[in-house]
Amino acid sequence: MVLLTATGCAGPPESPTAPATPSGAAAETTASGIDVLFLSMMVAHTEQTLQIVRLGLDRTADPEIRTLIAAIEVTEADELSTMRGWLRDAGPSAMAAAARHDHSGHSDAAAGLARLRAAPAGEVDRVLLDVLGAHQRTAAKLADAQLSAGTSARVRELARRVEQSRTAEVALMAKLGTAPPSGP
Amino acid sequence: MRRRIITVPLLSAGVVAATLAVATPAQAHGYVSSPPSRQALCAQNKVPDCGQIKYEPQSVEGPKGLRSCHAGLAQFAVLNDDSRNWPATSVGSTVTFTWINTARHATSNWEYWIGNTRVAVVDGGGRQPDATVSHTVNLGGFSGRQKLLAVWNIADTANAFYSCVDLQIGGGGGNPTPSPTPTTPAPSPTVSPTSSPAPGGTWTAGRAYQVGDQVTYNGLTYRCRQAHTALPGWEPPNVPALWLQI
Repeated sequence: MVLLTATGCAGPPESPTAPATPSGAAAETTASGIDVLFLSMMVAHTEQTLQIVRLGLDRTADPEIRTLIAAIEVTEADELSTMRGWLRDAGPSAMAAAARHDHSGHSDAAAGLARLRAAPAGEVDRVLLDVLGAHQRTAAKLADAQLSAGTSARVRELARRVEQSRTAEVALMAKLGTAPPSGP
Repeated sequence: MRRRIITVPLLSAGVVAATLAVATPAQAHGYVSSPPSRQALCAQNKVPDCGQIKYEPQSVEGPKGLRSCHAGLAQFAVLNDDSRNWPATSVGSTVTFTWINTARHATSNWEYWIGNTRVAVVDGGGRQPDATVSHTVNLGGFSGRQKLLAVWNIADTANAFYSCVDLQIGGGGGNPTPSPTPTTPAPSPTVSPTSSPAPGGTWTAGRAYQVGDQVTYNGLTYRCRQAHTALPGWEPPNVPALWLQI
């Protein structure tokens, strides 16, 4: 598997802009408190995802799992920088509110990471799929809630993609989890 | 009824709530997002001049047993002002309430009140809830415009989180969404290339791609940069880390 580093020509990972709503395309650049809250939570959550998958890449030898979590790593790294940028766009009050959220959910991810670190070699794949699966299920639920609560079109579009991709990842991980183990 | 009184200081001496490294019991936060609570409406900019609450809809926290919308917090007093033009969500006699929990502390229960009537209580079992929680509540017996108070009672502190939701009860059954939820169809090809199709054809979720594979998506051609199984949400224009437009 060859990993290509991101080059400048790839450009920012922005989705096609949703058509302007009757309430005004100004929503594109002004994130409401709900949007900021979602972005803050997703930033923290995504940072945890990256920790989990990087630890997973250190520990698992299964080629299918490695392919999946490596793809999660690069896609979520891009999403993370997008979301941080949108929080910056939302201004200093938003960033202050986001900073207050950095502690949210940490205990859940920390416990999962500890389990993954401590898992014996024969258990790594099972624990990784379990921890990452639970983590991505949470992201899907948060994104789903955002779809009815959010106001910014671009944040909602991101939430749609998060909901879809994490749900699909959970399904894929469930399939990988039932495959015959390919242990070292 | 289980009575377990635990007194935990919200802020220990010398600890600032914003410090990342130290956990304080005031971490538990949540609010009702759907139908939108008053704090959600403020945070969505649908009601103007709310003040601080628009940046932290999840922070309406106070001692258990309150019946106000603002948990007695002066900076959120706007939430308790019934003279504000709070838009009410039209609902039938059963309503599904969704909480977004920004931190997931152990729960005693959730309560739903209209006036002095508790219309529903959901046990939390002292367990951590999920990041989002939904309850379907029967409001039978109430009709017309009502202010419902949803309460999240935390198990390991003396506190609770409060969300007032303005409802217009009556008319059709069920729970119409206040704003349209965008529904996007699953990706399907809209343009067939007139020249011979690129190797791999149109991008398809569920297919495994290798580095160098080419696909078309919405009329554009992409080359795979990193091996992966394509997923909904990972359409080529959305994930430049996986697909390079050529």
